[in-house]
Amino acid sequence: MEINNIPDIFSSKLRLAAIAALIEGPKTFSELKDITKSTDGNLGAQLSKLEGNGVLVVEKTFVNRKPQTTYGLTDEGRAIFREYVDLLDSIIKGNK
Amino acid sequence: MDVNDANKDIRFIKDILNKTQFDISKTWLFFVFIGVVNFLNIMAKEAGYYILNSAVNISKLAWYVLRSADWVAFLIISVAYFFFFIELRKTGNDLSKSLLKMWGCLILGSKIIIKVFCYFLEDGYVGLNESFVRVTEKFIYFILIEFGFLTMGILVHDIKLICGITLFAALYLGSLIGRFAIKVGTIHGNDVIISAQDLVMSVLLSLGMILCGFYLRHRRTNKGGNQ
Repeated sequence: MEINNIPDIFSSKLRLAAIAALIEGPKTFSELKDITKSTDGNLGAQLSKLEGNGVLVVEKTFVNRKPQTTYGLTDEGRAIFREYVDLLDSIIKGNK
Repeated sequence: MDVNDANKDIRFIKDILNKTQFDISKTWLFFVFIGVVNFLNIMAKEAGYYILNSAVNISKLAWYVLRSADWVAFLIISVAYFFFFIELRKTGNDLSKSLLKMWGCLILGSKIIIKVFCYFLEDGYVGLNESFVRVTEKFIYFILIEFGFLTMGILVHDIKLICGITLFAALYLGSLIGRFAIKVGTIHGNDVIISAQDLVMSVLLSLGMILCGFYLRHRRTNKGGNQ
């Protein structure tokens, strides 16, 4: 990844926050909402974009008869995030 | 993107990671609740001693009510624990859930196991002195609670929590070795005395728990997770 071809998914703070929050493991929508302090609509829209880009996988289940949506990072999403962090690191160190 | 932007993004990512990995703030109300119940239990017992002291005749029933206060508090905490656990299962992270499970075992499970264990020490096969068994029972319980706080402090890398609980441990051991006793009430001219280590234990389980709960909440608000 180079400075001039940073993927669009990192242009939004909310998308970046959602990806970072999922690095440790899958999270439910309400957990992500709590971590990112965002609204339902905004978070839902950004998560859909990430899903469309192949960064996230969505799993819909029923817990105590209530629907629950869980989000997890794909291997591709994890790799892109790692590349992005490496890029930030190299910018700070003055290599880019 | 320049160095400033990169730094901002790195800080932002770190904040989110800290929130995700070390956030146990959702357990704050559980600790406050336990602390409040224990505090009310202490107050109820103090009021009980006062009422019994001013009563002309002390009935057996009144004694039973006073002596069952600990079990009533235990029952309330047990019921509340399951409500907190169900709530946290929906929204909490893995660390919070694991910590709540651990506290469930320490506060609720251990109390029953220790009681049964001490019953056999006292009445059953060993036949040890009653006061020695009581001190042992409370000592084991204190060690387990200390272990809970210490584990929590280490898991979330919180030096303040570790220092606070170490201070309580030092106070407890000091009062255990010093064998200090404190008068907490009088019943018909007879002093009701508790040992200083029991007082330290009561403070830890009431005010200590309340402080811990508010500290966890404050910690999340101000630091976004990790210290």
